[in-house]
Amino acid sequence: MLDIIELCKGVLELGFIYSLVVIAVFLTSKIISFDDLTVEGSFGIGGAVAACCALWGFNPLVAILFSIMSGILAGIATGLLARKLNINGLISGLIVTTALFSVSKKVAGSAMVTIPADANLFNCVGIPTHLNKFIILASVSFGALFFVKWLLRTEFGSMLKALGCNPQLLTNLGKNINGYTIATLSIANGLTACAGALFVNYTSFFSLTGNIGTFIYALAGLMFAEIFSDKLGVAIILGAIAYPALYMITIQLQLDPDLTKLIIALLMVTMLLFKRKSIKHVAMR
Amino acid sequence: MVRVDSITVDFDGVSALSNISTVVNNGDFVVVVGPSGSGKTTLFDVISGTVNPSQGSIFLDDIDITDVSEKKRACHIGRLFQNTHLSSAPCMTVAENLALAMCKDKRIGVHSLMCAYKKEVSELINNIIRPIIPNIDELLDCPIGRISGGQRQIISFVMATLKPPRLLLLDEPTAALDPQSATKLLLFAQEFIAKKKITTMLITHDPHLALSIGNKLLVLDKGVIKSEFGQDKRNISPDNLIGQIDYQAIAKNF
Amino acid sequence: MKKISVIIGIVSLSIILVSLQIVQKKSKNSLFKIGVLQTASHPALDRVCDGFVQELESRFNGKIECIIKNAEGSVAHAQTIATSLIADRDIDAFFSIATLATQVMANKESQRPVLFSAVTDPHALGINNHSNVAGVSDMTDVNATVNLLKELILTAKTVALLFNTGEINSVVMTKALCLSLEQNDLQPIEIGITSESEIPTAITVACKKADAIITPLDNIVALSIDMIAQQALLQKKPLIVSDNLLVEHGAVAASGVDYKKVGKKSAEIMIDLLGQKKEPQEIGIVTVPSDQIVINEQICDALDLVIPLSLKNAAIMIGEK
Repeated sequence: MLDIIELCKGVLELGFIYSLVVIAVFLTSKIISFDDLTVEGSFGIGGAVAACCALWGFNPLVAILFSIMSGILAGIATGLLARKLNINGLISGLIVTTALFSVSKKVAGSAMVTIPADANLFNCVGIPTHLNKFIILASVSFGALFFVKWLLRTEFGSMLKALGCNPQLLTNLGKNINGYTIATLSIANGLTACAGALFVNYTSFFSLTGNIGTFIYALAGLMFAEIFSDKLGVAIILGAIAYPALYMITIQLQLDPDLTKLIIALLMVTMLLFKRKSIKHVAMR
Repeated sequence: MVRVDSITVDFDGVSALSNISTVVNNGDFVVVVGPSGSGKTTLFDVISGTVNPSQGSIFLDDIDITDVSEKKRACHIGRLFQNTHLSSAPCMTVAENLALAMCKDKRIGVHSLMCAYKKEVSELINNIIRPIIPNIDELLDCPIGRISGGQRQIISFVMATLKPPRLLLLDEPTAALDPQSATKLLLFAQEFIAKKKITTMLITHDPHLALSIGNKLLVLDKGVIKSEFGQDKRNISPDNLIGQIDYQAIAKNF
Repeated sequence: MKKISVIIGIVSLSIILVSLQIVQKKSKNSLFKIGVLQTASHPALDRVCDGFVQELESRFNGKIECIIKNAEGSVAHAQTIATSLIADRDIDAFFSIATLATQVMANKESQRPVLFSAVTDPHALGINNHSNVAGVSDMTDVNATVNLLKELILTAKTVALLFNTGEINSVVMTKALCLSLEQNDLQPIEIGITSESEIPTAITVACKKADAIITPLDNIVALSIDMIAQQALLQKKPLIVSDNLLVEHGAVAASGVDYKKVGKKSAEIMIDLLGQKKEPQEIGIVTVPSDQIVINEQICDALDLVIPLSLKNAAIMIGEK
């Protein structure tokens, strides 16, 4: 007998973690039109820092804070490379992600690090129930969503939106394009690093290769989210859940495992065909 | 007062501007004309800071701003472009754009944009915009990229002159507009500029406009100033300015 | 349009959920249902899985159902598969192959037995206190490997160790190999790689700097063995591997673990667990001796290596001329 609730819980929990990355990619790719590959590295360094802090016996909440800071630094690095050294945005992100691979390994100490149970965030925070992980992850996911929604409504957020559609306007208003770009990259990578830290606590171990595919995952999540809505909202979280959900369906249907990726691609195309928005609107942006 | 002193701009060996010097006094309205490629837009770029001159200096009220960044100059030098989308954020609504323009010269905080400037935007719409665009209320929640070019350019003008700049650069603002919208914008702009006494420079290809607006005429050709004409250009026949500019004819009539 | 999409979505979801229930029902004939999670596809791990499944099927006369899933090296996929397997309440026990699968499985399931296999350093996983976990370690006896090298390649002074810095098994074994080599008066040179694309450069450097090359148990090495062996042969440098299955791809020899035997041993332990003859805690971690020597005669000839008679008698010879 299949425990559907357990199944859904697992998919949702993973979706909540990755929703932070999807929000981050929304901020960079959609708001400021900067495709940021740094997220792949930030996810890793966030996990590495969390693992390192766990081994050193830090409070898991403090560990998350340190993880977020490491993500912010990664974002700043990419921003400086892109704006001050005028390196192409994608390449800047790639450079930082490559560097972070080595940094993550050094910080974590080894390619695979187990998080001791007493240092695990989910064992220290919240109520020790079966649903603890779910509640915490859902809270963080929605919390991040509401934070970014609020941010985009502020003066600061409006500058970011303007930066994305017409950087010249920022110059006309006497504002610093570099500053806003770096600030956005910092926020986005801080969120991603937080996701990485949560992932490491969720799986109870850090793996050096655990961050591979994060950017693609997030882009796919963003694409799915656009099916439901263009604006930043619950659609983002639904989009982040869609990919693991699709994968789960292919597993459950016991389809030929070699064809899994092909089937997911076909399912993605089918879902995208249901997209309400016409192609014209996308081009106009 | 703006002084352009021996400005030369070279792009990969091609001289866009050669040893340009001119003075724009406070309250002047200078019209800049010339054939395509004569360096009119480049001159504006140098003044606004988009392009760095290879040689020469720019002075604003006797302060050397040659090394001042474009964004710092933007607080004192306003600019409107031929491309109606360049002076606003196309993805944001009209109301948001107006609120954004209020942020010039102010520290950016984390207050809600629309709440912080609700009153000011309301006043702006009632006092200045509604007389010229009566249906502004319908447009407030439209993305500014979707409204008509004429309306967008008017709003861009309002945004650029919210805090009257020391110098206003209008780079063929009506070139992409239909004649009706163009006239509307120009009448509005002229009235506003006269009222607020804003020092203005205008680039245009329209000979009739060149002769009917402003108090000075600057003629550029191949990166040099061919002629400068002071007050009263009424004697120049507009036909002399069409296509290749006949400078002798201008000189004769002036 | 939106309403229709939502309705179609709900209907499709319902169809999927119903069909999931149908698919998941344990077939009436099976006595037991085992959930198997393999970390990645590669020859050694595939053999473990085959050995395990074949042994179980022969002992239960086919009345056993194994759900076999492969995470293809991705942590996120391993997580999702583990969630899926654990959600199936009909599964009686779990079998995880290699480190990643074990980490994920052991951390998610705390009730039903989890048997792991092909994990080089189980203690590093921090699952010692999990009462439902037991396993088979495939740690190769590094001393045996080094002795093999000494007997076959008499003139060796420096030995290059080609390994994946991103794989914990690899790193642990390399460290042990270094120690053993130094104890045997040989100088180790560590050459670490992080991906397959770095192999050509790494192997060229290894051939230049050392007299012989040893590779530990390693996924990337396993996948690129043909390239590595080819280059080593070209440069006339002997290659000793840790996985018996790789010798036929062009290595000189190996003193390693027979992965099919590992699979078989795992099956025997699983049978004990299923029949509740033993508790996981009692079984703990079992090792399979890695003393089976395999020598590739063809490569030895190509490199002018002399195989001592004692070794010839004890080893499995492959690559007959």
